[in-house]
This record gives sequence, structure tokens and C-alpha cells, in this order.
Amino acid sequence: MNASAPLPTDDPLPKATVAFGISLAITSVASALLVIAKEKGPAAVMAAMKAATGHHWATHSLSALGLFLALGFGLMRANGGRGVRLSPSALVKTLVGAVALATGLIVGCYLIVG
Amino acid sequence: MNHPLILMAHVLFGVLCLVGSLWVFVDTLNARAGTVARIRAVSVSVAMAMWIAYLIAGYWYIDFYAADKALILKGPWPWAHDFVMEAKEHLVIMLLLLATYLPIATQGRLASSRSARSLVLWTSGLVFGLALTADSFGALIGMGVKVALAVK
Repeated sequence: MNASAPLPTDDPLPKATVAFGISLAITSVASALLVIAKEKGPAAVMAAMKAATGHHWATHSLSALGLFLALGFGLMRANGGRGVRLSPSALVKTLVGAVALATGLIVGCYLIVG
Repeated sequence: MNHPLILMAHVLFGVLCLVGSLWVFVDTLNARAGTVARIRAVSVSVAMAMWIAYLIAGYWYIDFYAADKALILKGPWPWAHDFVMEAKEHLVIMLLLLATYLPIATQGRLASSRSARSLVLWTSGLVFGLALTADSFGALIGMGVKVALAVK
């Protein structure tokens, strides 16, 4: 490649990169919503999470990891094994937006709501 | 295992994750065919460091933190637990997933594709930002224990 030539911007990403990127975005927001549910929702949610593994945080971690892996491998198998389609720029926007939203939800849950 | 050693190991691997993510970010800015293998290797190291830091932290948090929590809540900085620890313990779940994703994000054509680089830059940048936040929050929690002991 000519060193001075501009790099292509719409080069497709590997299917695992797209699938696990979307999975990460969904899991981040789901994990933040689970924080709100267990801290501000019915006491039964927190009690069930404690009962599942002995500690709510361990259950939360395992749930997030399980969802991340299940969604990632599931999305890789979409479209007859070709994986889910998303442009690289849309993937970046989805990922960054989801992480920002999840961070805001978690911080807001403890900072604003108390 | 000795309580302070557990915390020191947690911080050590957390800082390795932090420094590694910065390495990946800077290396990706100038990615060439000859540097892609190094970027991918460092991204794997970032994920491994984060996993080790996370597992050590989980062991410490579940088995030892209750005593520190009680101290903090009775001290002058109860927010060091109520906000800082509570937020940290849930933000790091996202940090673990981001660090795990980083080696997957580096599988694109980094030497020839701007979009592949952009994804790695954003992912490593988010790992760096969250790791720095977690590190800072950890320092505040430690200070919460110290100020509680100081007034005891």
C-alpha cells in the first residue's frame, strides 16, 4: 500500500469482532439495569441473586459474563453462519454509546438516587 | 493469603491492565504490518491482567471487605463505600468485558483499515478510562478506611 494514500474507512470487520462488540454493548446496558433492579427494585431480586451463588456480586458477574458469551457466539451464527452485519462506524457508535449509558446509569443509581 | 498482599496484587494487575491499554492505544495510532502482532499480543496481556485483577478482587471483596466496610461506614467518609465502592464494583464488570473484548477487536486489518483502527482506539481508550477510574476509586476506598481508623 502507498504510505501516503488514505486508509479505507468502510473495510468490513471480522464477524467475531462485530458479534462480540454488539454483545458487549447489550451486556453493558443489561448489567447496569440489573444494578438498578437489585438496588432499587423489589428486595426479592437482591435476595435471589444472593441465594444463587452466595453473593449478589458473584451472581451479577457470572450473569454478565454468561450473557456476553451467549450473545457473542449467537450473533456469530446469525445469517447462516456469516454473522450479524453492522458497519464499523455504527459498531463504534453503538459500543461507545452503550458504555457511556451504562456508566451513567450505574453512577446515577448510586450518586443521584442514593 | 496475607490481606495486604491480596490488595497489592490486585492493584499491580490493575495497573498492568491500565498501562497495557495505553500501549495498545498508542501502538494502534501508528499501526503497520510489522506492529500488528505486537498490538494483538499486548491486547491479550491486557485481558489476562484484568482477569487476574478481577479474580483477586472478587476473592478479597467477598472474603475480607466486610470488616473494612463496617469501618468506613462508621468513619467520616461513609460515601467511600456508599458511592465509591458500590459504583466501582459494578463498573469493573463492564471493564472486565471491555478488556476481554480488546483482543477480539484487534482481529481486524489494523495496518490497512481506518475503521479497524478506530474500533481498537475506542476500545482501548474505554479500558484505559475505566481502569483509571477504578484505580482512583480504589485509592478513595483505602483512604476511607484510613480516615476511619484515624478518628477511632
